[in-house]
Amino acid sequence: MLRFRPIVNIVLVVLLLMAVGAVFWLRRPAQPGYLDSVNLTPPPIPDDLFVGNELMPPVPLAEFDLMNHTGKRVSNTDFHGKTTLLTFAYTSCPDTCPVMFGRFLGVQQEFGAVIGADVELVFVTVDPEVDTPERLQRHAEAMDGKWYFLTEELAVMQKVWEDFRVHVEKEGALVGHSNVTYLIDDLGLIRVRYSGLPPTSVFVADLQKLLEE
Amino acid sequence: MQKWFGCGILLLWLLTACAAKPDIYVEDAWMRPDPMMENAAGYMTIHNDGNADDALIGVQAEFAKMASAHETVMDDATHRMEAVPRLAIPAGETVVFQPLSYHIMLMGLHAPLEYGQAVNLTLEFEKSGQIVVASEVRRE
Repeated sequence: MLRFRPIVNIVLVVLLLMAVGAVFWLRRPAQPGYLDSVNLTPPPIPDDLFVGNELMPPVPLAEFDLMNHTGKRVSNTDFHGKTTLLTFAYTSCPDTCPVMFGRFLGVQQEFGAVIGADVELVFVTVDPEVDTPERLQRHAEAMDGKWYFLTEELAVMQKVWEDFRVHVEKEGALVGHSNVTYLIDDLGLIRVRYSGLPPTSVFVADLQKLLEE
Repeated sequence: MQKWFGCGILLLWLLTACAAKPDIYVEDAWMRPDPMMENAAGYMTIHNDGNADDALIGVQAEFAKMASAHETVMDDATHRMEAVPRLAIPAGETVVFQPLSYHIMLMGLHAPLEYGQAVNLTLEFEKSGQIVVASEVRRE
């Protein structure tokens, strides 16, 4: 028995040290896990950036010559010297376009008298066979929209959609289309592109930023 | 013999009472007509609190020429609307109709709707049958 005693003592000391080590290891401060190292909150957007997708370099507005809802000819050069928000929609659209009309009405409310002077809101139809100038006029009046609503013959519109990268698919009375909006500066350069239906606040922030430039 | 017959009836009654069935209820029904009052889109929340699946298989509206369930789908950056002839409402689940998602498409309004008024939509379910829902007309 005595022969083994030193070995037993050593084993006991080692076990004791292991136990103490285990206690310290278990009570160590919590290590950050993988998810803790990932910042889940988006960083604040610096003041000098647009919320939408800024085009670098800016792209000149494609040329167009269309009919306004009041029956007047309107071309791309009519928006030079103004800051313009331009998007695509159609009047008999039941689900998506009303959201966009609401967003533009929100912008109109926010900027008040500046709309029609320094800032212009423009809708371009994706349903020219139905959206005649008279119909667009009635629509603007019903919504109290202080905007341009542009249309023309189908062939002319097809060229415009192509230039603005808008995919249009007519299916009976409904029209499937890309929801794309462009923010254009006073030099006629497309500065920001929006995909989908961003909230009014996004348009307001970017318009304000562009107006302050 | 009579006793067994009675037991059989009781068992049948119990089985019927416990049989799985859906329990559909609809809330927050509203609709937004386009500004020219030609078409409208209806939105709502459909709950199935029962223990059997059900499905929305039809919609009727007296105030429109055509009513049907649709879904707005995003396909290659293009929003398009697709008809949904049968929409499953699984047991214990909720299906929300909202802008840019499921909606009731109401084409060809017979007369302009008034904001604030409630109009009836008749929803037809595979198992629960017809349910009439009062839907408020809203601008936004």
